[in-house]
Amino acid sequence: MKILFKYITLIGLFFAISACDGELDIQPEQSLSPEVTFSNKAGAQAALLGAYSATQSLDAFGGLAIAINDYMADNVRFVGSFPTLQEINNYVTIASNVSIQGLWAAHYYAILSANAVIDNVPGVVDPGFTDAERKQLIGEAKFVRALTYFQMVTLWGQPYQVSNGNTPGVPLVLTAGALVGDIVKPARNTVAEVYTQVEKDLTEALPDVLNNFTTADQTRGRATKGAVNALLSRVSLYKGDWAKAAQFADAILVGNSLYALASDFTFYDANTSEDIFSIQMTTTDNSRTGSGGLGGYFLPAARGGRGDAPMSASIIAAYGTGDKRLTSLSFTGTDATTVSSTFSNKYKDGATNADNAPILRVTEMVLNKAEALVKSTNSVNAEAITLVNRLRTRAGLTPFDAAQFAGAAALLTAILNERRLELAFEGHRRMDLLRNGLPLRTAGAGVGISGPGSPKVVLPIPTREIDLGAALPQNAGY
Amino acid sequence: MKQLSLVFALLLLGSAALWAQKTITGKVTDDDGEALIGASILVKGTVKGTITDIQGGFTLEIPEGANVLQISYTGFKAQEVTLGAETTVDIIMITDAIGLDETVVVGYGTQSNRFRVQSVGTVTEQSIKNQPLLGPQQLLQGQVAGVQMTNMSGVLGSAAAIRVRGPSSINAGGNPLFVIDGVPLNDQNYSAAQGAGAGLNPLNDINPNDIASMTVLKDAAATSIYGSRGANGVILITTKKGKAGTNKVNFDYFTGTTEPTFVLDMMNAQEYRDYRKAYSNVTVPGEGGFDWPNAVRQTGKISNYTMNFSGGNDKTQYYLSGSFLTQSNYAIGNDLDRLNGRLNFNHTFSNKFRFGANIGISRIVNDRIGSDNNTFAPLTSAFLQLPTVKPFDAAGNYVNTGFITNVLALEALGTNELVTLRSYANTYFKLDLLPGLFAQSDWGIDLVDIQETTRQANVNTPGGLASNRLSTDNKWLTTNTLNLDRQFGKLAVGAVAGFSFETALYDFTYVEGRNFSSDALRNVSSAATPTSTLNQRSQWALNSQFVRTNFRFNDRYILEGSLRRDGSSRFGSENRYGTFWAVSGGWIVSEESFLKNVGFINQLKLTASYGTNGNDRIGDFPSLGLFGSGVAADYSGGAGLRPTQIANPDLKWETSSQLDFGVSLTVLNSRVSLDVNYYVKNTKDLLLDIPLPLLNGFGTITRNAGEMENRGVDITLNTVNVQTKKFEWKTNFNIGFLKNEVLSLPDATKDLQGREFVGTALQRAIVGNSISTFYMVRYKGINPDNGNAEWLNRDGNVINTVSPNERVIVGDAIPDFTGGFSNTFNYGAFDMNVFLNFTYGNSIYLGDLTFTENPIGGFNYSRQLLNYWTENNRDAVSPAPTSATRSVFSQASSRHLLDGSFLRLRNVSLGYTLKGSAVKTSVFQSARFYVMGQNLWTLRAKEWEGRGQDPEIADAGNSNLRQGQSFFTPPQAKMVTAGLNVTF
Repeated sequence: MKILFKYITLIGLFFAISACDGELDIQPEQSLSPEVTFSNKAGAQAALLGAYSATQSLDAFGGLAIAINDYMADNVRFVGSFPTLQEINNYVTIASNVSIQGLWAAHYYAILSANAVIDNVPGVVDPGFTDAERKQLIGEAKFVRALTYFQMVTLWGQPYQVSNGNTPGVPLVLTAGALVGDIVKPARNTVAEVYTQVEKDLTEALPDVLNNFTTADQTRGRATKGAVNALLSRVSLYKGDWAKAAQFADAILVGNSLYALASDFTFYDANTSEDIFSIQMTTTDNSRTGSGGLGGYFLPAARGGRGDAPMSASIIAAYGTGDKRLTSLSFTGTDATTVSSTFSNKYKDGATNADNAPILRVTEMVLNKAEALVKSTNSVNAEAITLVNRLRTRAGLTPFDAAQFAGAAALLTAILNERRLELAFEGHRRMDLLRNGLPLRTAGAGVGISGPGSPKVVLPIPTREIDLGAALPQNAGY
Repeated sequence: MKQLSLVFALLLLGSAALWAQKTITGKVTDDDGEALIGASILVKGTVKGTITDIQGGFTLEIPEGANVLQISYTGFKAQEVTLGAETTVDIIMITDAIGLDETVVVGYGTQSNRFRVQSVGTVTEQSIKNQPLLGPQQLLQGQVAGVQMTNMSGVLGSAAAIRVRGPSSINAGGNPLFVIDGVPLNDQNYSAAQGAGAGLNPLNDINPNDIASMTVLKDAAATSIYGSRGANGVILITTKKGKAGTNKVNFDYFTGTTEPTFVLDMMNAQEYRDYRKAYSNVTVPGEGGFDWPNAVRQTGKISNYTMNFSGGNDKTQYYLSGSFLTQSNYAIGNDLDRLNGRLNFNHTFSNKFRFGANIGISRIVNDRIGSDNNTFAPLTSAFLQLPTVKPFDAAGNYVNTGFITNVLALEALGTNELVTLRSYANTYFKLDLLPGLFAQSDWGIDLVDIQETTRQANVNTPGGLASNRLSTDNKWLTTNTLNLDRQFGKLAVGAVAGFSFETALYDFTYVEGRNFSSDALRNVSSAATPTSTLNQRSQWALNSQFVRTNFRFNDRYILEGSLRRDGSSRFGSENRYGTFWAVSGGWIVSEESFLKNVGFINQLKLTASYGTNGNDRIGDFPSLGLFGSGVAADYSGGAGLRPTQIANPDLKWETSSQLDFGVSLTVLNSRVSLDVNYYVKNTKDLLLDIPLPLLNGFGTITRNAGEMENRGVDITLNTVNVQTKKFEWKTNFNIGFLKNEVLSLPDATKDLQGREFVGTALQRAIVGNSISTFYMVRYKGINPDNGNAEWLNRDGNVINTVSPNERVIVGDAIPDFTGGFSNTFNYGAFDMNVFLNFTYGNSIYLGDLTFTENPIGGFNYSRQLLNYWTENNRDAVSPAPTSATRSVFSQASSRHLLDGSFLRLRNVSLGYTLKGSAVKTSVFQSARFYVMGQNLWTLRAKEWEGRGQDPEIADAGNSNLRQGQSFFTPPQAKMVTAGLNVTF
């Protein structure tokens, strides 16, 4: 018994010695809690840059969506080997396509990052953080959110022209509740509702964002009044609100010294006055995704790309001869199937994908306004011809003459053709066709099933989302 | 705290005492009369003991009142000798082929097999001595019932997936805890994955020739003393120790060649051109071609040199070893050189105080290759690369071959090297306090230092790329225990109680740059464009107290209990501590009077245990909401912050409980032993990455949700079939049956059939089914009438598309049973071992088939596709050229799911031993010449032929949710070696 007592004492002593747990309080060294992030102005500003950074992703604005918008239509002869991207090209996409799931995820991650700023900036306790600065950050975050939702509604929803937007769009998530574990499973909003939210965000952002920053990369790379106006012009054009499309384009084109139509085609990736908003990329932003970026898709292997997206015969024919947009912006290389092909030279860096993503630029505003004028007046509008001729002249072509157009429809066709040739490989082609009631393909896979309202002109809601019980009815045809 | 424990140890030093005694001398021999050197003699009920000298003799002082000696020697049955008045005693030991009286290492101690009530599996020096071993985990394959060890791939140094009694967690990792000489090893993935699901094997640094035994702790009675880390089982490795009285030198050398067990059958250039023309009406430009699959293969070579010195006297024993392994794989560019050193020593400082150390160091230089899902992997790209693409231009220079890189240029011009330095060591101090009571203090380290360097030449990556990755993971720990082993009349009491503190600091640096002015400039600093500068650190700590007590009454009834309390830095302050416990009991029925006289039964033992364990392998900060910075969050030159993790402050320990019933029977003069264990292992509060709809911005959140069960039977049968002076034949057969079932996943979402699940589109854990269930559309075949590919919808009707809505359960990745069958023959000077292992009833998804068997794909094609439907070839495997189904033919379906069962001749060896005495020389004691073959023969399902490679794969290693999937996973090597082992 005595011995037993001795043992118990010894064992007790052991446990007494070890009962200290200060060593267990270990904090992460390369992360911050949300509370610390939004505890002062510097943290809030960094969180906004984090939201911009999210848009750089290959799957957001870093290249894939742009490539898909061009190759689902007729600008690109897609020869990429990835089965999931082939499916989209061949109009046999299925809903479990992981590339599409990646696009969906990256867009909502950018939205979450923007929502975090919008939710948390008002509550930051920092006397040095002025109201104007707070409003500016929230305004920029709303621009990021609007831009992202607008790209989503065009990828997953039919054009506004189908049933006046009363078709399924994407679910609107407008708070960052997920960060604190508040999980949502919202239903799909209609296309019209998403347009309304995009316009609301942009309208609210417009008075609060800056006109310009002190450096070119920020002026061209962050949300400014010019960027908000330009996106509003595009949203209005896509929606069919011609007056507003022209009015917002004028905010760039008329009396705004920050912006000017470039005189040649050397402005890509250069933050010139041609650029209204370009997502700024460096060698470290998109080089490590492994799947590429703009250069990765549009350049051949010899330039570090994959050679997946050479120019289509259709667009080469559309340029005709002597068009500087072809002669100065293309070259010959070997495509992914080892066939010699013509490639666009708009993007330069296939190895580290450091080309800025051109999102909004002055040329588009010229085209937006020209198109809006023709459509609103339903005539061979002289001002529209003057506008388009600025582009024709720049391209080294003879200017249009009003006499060559039989009517508004002929002029509209000509404007859309110029739009195609100017904005090729920048992600515009698919929506420019669909919103004008035109099919994406008139030859090859997709013929007969690629017009507006056809199921496979829009992407499927990823199967994973539906599997996980989000109340998201699948797009027809998937 | 650490200082205190040292003070404590010193305090205990003061309590030494003296005893009255008498002296006895004796000799220990085997049944041939040969002296047994180093046999252990212990005075029963005390800690007094000694070991025999070089003549087998011993002298021992017997304390007053004690009169029983316990004699044990590895490979012989233990004996007890009751002393009378005599002062000399001769002891003859009887061979113990079965190991009933073997002492096995268990958690924080050792136990005799005879009285053990924990369910453990052991791998002894005897059972592995005639195999060429390249890594410690190889010792586990097919050797222990209920342990499934699967090599991830045939890449040198690749990791293995090890599951003890099935996967007991969904997201918190599946590999068991490895403990070498008392030091739990660092076992993170330190190397870049390079396309495979995991990096290299973190246990590669251990020289398997230094291993004396391995114990696999299986039931809760055995593992709960490892508390929060025991849920996946624990594997204890003990290294070799020197024996007093003998000084031996052993040298071993073997050399051989390797080849892949299987290779894929791809089209050559002519077949490719003809096929493209015939099937797709595409004229492939150019002429000629290149045989890529053949160009990346070679005959691998392996050589291994091991030398060790061991011995000592009754005060000090040593074991000193060094080894050098050099190996080249059957794939170009993959080499491995390993240098190991080890010093183990024990010293008896006084009759109360002993200390020792076990120190291992190693250096590995591994010339790596990528594998699996990687276009820079020789054994992936060679199969995808178009056979019409040539690696050289007309001038003989390497060319860029595009997305599928030129792997010949990559291996010739690039660098992909991993250098590992590792030191792991344990120092112990043992102090006898009272008869049967001692204190022990252990101090251990495991320092891992890894440098990984890559360089890709301009021709592979325009501009060139270099990277350098440095990882260090430095652990230290201390364990302090009190150990009791005493006999009170008929009651034997054993106990261990202690505490331990363990902490590790992981530091990771990665730099990468692109754009070099010359391929000759090799390092990142020469790059014009730095693309990555990462440095991260993280730390964890574990503070634990534990106790185990064991009562044995009349050598018949055994009761054991253990308890452990762990505090972990990984959990939030609200849920920091976890308590784990187990109770077990045993009844040695054969000691009862009604069986005692049944002559053919040596032992019949029944055991039962129940207890709990935890699992803490969920990263260092899983409960916090986090924002991260760095290059992934920056924008336009400004530092950013981006959300990186969703908060879940309520996160707590995952706990598993296990029930085990065992029967252990030894009969026929200890020539047959049978162990059968039935277990039910249940994991609650599963640490689960609950998938979220991605519209929340994140795809998963970690929660405690759900319950899973593994239930199974482990059977081990050891027999000595023939035992004569000249010829001996021994057999070991073990088999583990396992059924895994997910019981509930409350927060998960439901599939179309209304069952909750987590996982991916094609493999998931589904309630009511296994954790790794394959969920796919069923493929039916090619319709002989019209050449359309056909699938089945959920109702079993034929469809011509692959829709996710038609997916059903088509199999799972967990085998119904796995096991091994080993036969050892000794005839005079010859010995032979034939060892097979087997796996049955699992499915394997070959993702590579969605590429190689895609009739309209952009890569090279499998020769299978030549068999496409035409009017004249109606029994085809690929749809007609005109069929609309050809564009969806390659979408994932059960067409790509194969039967994973296999039977493999893992090892066969033949040896001849020459005794020095036989050739009348004293230059050496014995020399053994041997030849060996590994993986020489594999039986796999017929459907693999021409389509798949090796059914032994686990491309994601430690993950439990992704098992049985492959994407060009390199097969195991066939190896033939010859060697020489000399003892001086």
